[in-house]
Amino acid sequence: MFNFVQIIPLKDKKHDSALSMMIALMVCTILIVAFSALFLSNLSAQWHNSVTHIATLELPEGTSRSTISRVKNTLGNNSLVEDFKEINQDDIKSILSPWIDRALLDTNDIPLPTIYTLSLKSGSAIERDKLKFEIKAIDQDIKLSTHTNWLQKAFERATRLKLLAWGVGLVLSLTLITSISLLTRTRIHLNTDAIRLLHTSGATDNYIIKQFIIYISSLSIKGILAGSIAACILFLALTYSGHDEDMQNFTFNTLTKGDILFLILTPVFIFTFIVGTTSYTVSNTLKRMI
Amino acid sequence: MISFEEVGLRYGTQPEVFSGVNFTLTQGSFYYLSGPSGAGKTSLINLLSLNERPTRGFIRMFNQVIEHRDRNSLVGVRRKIGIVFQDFRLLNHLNVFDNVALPLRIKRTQEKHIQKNVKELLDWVGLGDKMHYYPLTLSGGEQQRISIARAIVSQPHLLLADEPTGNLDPEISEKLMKLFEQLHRMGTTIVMATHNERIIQDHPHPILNLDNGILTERIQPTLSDIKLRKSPLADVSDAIKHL
Repeated sequence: MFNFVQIIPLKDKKHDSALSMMIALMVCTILIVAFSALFLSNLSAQWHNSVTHIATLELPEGTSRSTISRVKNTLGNNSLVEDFKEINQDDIKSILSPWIDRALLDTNDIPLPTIYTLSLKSGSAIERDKLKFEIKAIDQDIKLSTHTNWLQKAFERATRLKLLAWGVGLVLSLTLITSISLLTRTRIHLNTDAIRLLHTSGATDNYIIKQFIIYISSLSIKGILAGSIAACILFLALTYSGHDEDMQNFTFNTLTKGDILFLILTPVFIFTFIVGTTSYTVSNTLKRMI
Repeated sequence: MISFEEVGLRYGTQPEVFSGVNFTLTQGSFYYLSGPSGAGKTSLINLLSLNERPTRGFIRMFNQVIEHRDRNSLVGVRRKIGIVFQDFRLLNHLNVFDNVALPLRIKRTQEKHIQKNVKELLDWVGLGDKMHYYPLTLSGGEQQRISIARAIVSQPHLLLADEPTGNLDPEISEKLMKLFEQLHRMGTTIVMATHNERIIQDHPHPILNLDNGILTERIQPTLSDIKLRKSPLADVSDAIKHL
């Protein structure tokens, strides 16, 4: 039967609550930061995939039928192009209408280009350049846009934010580990007499380490549970607060199963780090005692 | 069982507390450790309890050489030693039962054995009805008895007592000495640091005397010696009666 007695007087109601609270806050922040980092990471990956697999071909108004036919032939024969589709003129008008001052102009009054959307297969930059070259060879005025340029800056900013989030998470984890290490050292010094008594009575270092681990584990589990629940509430509140269905779907669709598993395992990692830090600190401090 | 050979102890850069200490304790012996305050009695007890390491010399305990051994490799030796501290060193957050059970829990003794042995021992030291009390609610004498019960619960080969009667009134001191005599008769080796001359006279045993860092051994007449000395006188008395 498991009958554990806390022989070293480590419990201290006031300070224990403060420590649990600190662990809860750290865990909550680390989870939110980890979620943000994963979200940004997946979002930028989605942008990247969308952009590299889509292109737009714009033919100015008045382009001859033969030119259009040659363009279609080129697109049909190019191995990079999976599919292409002409955008309906009404759809083009609806896209353009918000940008036109209706008091002066109407979409019927302006020249509308012929636009094709292309679905591209995964290919190298050389293959994309080759496609551009073939189109330009038909007519210099035809524009092939792969969108990568205008999204590149947004993509870079997202990457920077993602790195920043991981950095913040790392700093918070180190702060938590340092705090646990300092607390453990303080508790060892406060209980030197009890530790000496245990040694004198024939206790091994492992027996004393176990006393600390069981104490810190009980506090950590409370703090980690509280922090994880708080992070879940915050996450759900942020997702559902705007009654924005797209945002809700987007949030859940953006996270992969691996990400969700990572988020669930993060508190377990934190717990393991706390226990490992405690064990290492006690073991190291005991080595210096006689 | 225990031998000290040219043992010296120094704290930091201070002069040696004692130097060139030599003695041997045989199994089942009872020694007083006496000397003026500050003579190094507690330091010697600390060496015997492995709470200090000598700065020079050799210590051999239970057939093991102690020097340069790390703490974890001496666990077996430590478990053969029971200590009664002058200041009791009880854990105030644990009740009487858990304080006494401490050495058994460290040895991972089965809980049913702990329950049985500790209750029996507490009855023996007269604290059977106070096992759920906390040390701070008990008198000095009762706390000392908890300390003794804790020291002997694991049936140590060597019992060290550092001024165990220092905080006790004469009546409880006498009871304590009877307890030690009983343990001694059961085969426990006892080293008791004291400067209580009355106790030494009433319960005669060999004395290790520490003075100015020098250890000397003084043999006192034991109770059996006194009986032997009385016997011839009794014979004389009988002879006179027969005259």
